[in-house]
Amino acid sequence: MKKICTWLAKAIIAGVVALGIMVGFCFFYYNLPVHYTNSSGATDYFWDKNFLSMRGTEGFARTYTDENGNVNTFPEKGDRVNILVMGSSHAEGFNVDSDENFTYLLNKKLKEKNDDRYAYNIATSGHTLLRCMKNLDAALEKYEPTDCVVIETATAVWNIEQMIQLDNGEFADLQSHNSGIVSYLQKINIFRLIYAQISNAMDKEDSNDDDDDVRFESEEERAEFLKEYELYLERMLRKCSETAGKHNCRVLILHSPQMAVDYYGNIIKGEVSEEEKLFEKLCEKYDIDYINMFDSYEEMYEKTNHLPQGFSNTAIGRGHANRYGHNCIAEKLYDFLKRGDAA
Amino acid sequence: MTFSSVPFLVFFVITYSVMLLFNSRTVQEKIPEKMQLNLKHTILLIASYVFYGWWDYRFCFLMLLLTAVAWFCARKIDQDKNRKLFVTIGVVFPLLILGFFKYFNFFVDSFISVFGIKFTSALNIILPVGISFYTFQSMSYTIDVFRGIIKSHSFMDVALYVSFFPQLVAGPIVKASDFMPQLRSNHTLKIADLAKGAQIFAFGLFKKIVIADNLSVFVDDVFSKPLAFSSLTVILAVISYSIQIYCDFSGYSDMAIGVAKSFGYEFNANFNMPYISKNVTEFWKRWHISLSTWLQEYLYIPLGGNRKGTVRRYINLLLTMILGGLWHGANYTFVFWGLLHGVALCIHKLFMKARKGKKATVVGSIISVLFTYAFVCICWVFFRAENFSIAMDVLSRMFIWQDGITQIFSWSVFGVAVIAIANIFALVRAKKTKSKEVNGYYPVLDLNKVGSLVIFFLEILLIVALAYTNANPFIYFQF
Repeated sequence: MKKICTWLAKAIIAGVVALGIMVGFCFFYYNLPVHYTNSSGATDYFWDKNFLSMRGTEGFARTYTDENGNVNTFPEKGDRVNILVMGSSHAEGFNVDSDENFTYLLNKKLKEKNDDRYAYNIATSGHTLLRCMKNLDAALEKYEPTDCVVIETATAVWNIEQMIQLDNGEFADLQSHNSGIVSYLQKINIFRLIYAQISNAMDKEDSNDDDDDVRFESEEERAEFLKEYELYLERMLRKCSETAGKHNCRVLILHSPQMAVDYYGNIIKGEVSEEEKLFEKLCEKYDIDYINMFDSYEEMYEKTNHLPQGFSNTAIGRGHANRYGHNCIAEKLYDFLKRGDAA
Repeated sequence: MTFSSVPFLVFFVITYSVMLLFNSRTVQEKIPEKMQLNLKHTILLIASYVFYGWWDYRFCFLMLLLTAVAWFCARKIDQDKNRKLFVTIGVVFPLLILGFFKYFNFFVDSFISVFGIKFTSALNIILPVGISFYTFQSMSYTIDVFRGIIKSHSFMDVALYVSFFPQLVAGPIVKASDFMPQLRSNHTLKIADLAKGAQIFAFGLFKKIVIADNLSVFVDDVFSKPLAFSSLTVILAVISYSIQIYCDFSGYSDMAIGVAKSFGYEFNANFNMPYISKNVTEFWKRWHISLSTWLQEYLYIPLGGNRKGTVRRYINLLLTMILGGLWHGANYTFVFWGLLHGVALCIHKLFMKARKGKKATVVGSIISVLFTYAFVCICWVFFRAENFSIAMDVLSRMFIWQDGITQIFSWSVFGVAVIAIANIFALVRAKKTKSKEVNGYYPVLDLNKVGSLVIFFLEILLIVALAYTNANPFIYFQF
């Protein structure tokens, strides 16, 4: 018995030391901020303020959050926000260094061209276009952008159930677990990483079971679905346009699609779905600017062999936007703003 | 249920706990030793069939049938009844089973394509997991009894030998002459064995789910569309595959050795730093040692080995390697991979004959290692590619410099660094101990010391932190 107790004591000491060493390791490999519920409603949550984040699981990036808990590090801040950037983790830019995300690069470009406009990024992980639509009014109320709001999206097709929830005002907020023991545990980076690894593995198992594809038994059923889809999409975009009008700013939806290449290295051009065509048509109808990055990404790839997504430690061309992707978006946005000025 | 899964952890804990009951004083005092031994073997046998049945319970009957045939033939051989007939049955029957499940469609397709017959409906045969391993083991038992190396054993012992779960689905291929004598020992579970087994298992797990699985992402990408990538990337992918397959398979072997060790059974090491080999002959003494030994003892030597003249020796070598290639899978790419190694072995033998007596310099040795590694990597292209067309595209990208997507995959750099450090460590240790043999087996620590426990826990935490979470099956399961 004494032998077992001695061994257990040694094991506990060794366990604590090993955890300590791993905390040090994770400071450089996986040190992420904790998120808190955002009472303003501009986003569902904000990150730890003035936090140095390190991420080595998808790309290797060192990122800072600002005094509001957003990823904004452009040193010369404007007097007021002219361009507000909303969107998901792609626009947030936790996978590239702070000075490589497209908001930073756009600000840099504007500064270089002596343009006083200032872009501010409130894009936050998990904030898909539907979520941004839910938060749009509060975000415009809080940041009052003078020119436009850019909403980044990785897709132009959405789940109809979620669109109905949005329309009914039942689209639930993303929860922040910032109370109780969980809030303390998630501040310890190694626990956070272990949790992430386990949930990734579980998600993978779940995704094997799920089949989200909507299948239709007949053309009529498909047509019926598209009719309903159009109805809710139109309501969403109309509301978006009205909200922007109320705050005197334009809306620009920036679609950053996932790119893929075939066996010979040619970009795969999938067929544009009815839903995507509808989206483009309705954006035009409600005077919402729409940029699809596909052609720009393709052009970049043809010239440089760089794909806009993927990192040196992930599958090639898949995942979040890399620095080439961010740069390409910044260039495109700058050109768009310049064209708008000219018009 | 793979070794790197939660169900296996639960399965192991249950099996180990049940086996632990035999350590109690009550059991030891009240149950006779012989009965204890039989009960232990029965429990391990049941556990092994549960382990195998987890994939597909129907194939448990196939394994049982193979066991019954091997047991029956060996008994008859031992009784001196038609020894040659029964050894033939003991070898041909498992080969027929293997041939049907693994090669039926391959041979039908080959026949159809050679004779240009228009026929498309081949049978939809499911390949039973690990069939190549346990058929070889059942043959090994019959042959060893025929050769008089071991005596025939009870049905229970043979069944446990064929199905023993640590080595059941992906080896190492344990020879009957190595395993059967271990069944006589009482195998009382010891904490020291568990500690050693856990460490060997953890090393294997690290190799598998940290190095091999992370590398698979890059390798799969490049081999699925090689012409999209630059030459540099394709070369890096081939190097990455060489590390992936080594870490995948040797990782599995380590886990198998570790699990067996914790139950008190000893398996021989299956890999010993193959990429420091100075020639292909040495490579095959370091790579998949259990298979190369098996092929040598049960195929090359019975074919005549090097006893029937130079020409026959080379023919035997080529035949052994081609069949060894085919053993890996029903595809001509595997046959070609085996042929390439066979040719290289023949060339090496000829080269050694010409150079007899001359000692290699240090520079010469380094060049030999690099040359052997490059050759092995080129061979891996055929092993990994789904068909010859993809293999040729990969090779053309490697040798004709082309532009394309360039990816310096960080896990490749990590993998190369780990393998390089491990090799250097082993070389330095060999030099220090003035040992002639460079031994790549890692040190097993004394887990009674705090320092050792810290290292062990760090290893476990690193495995969890760096593991590739989109579970990948072991490469050698398909064989």
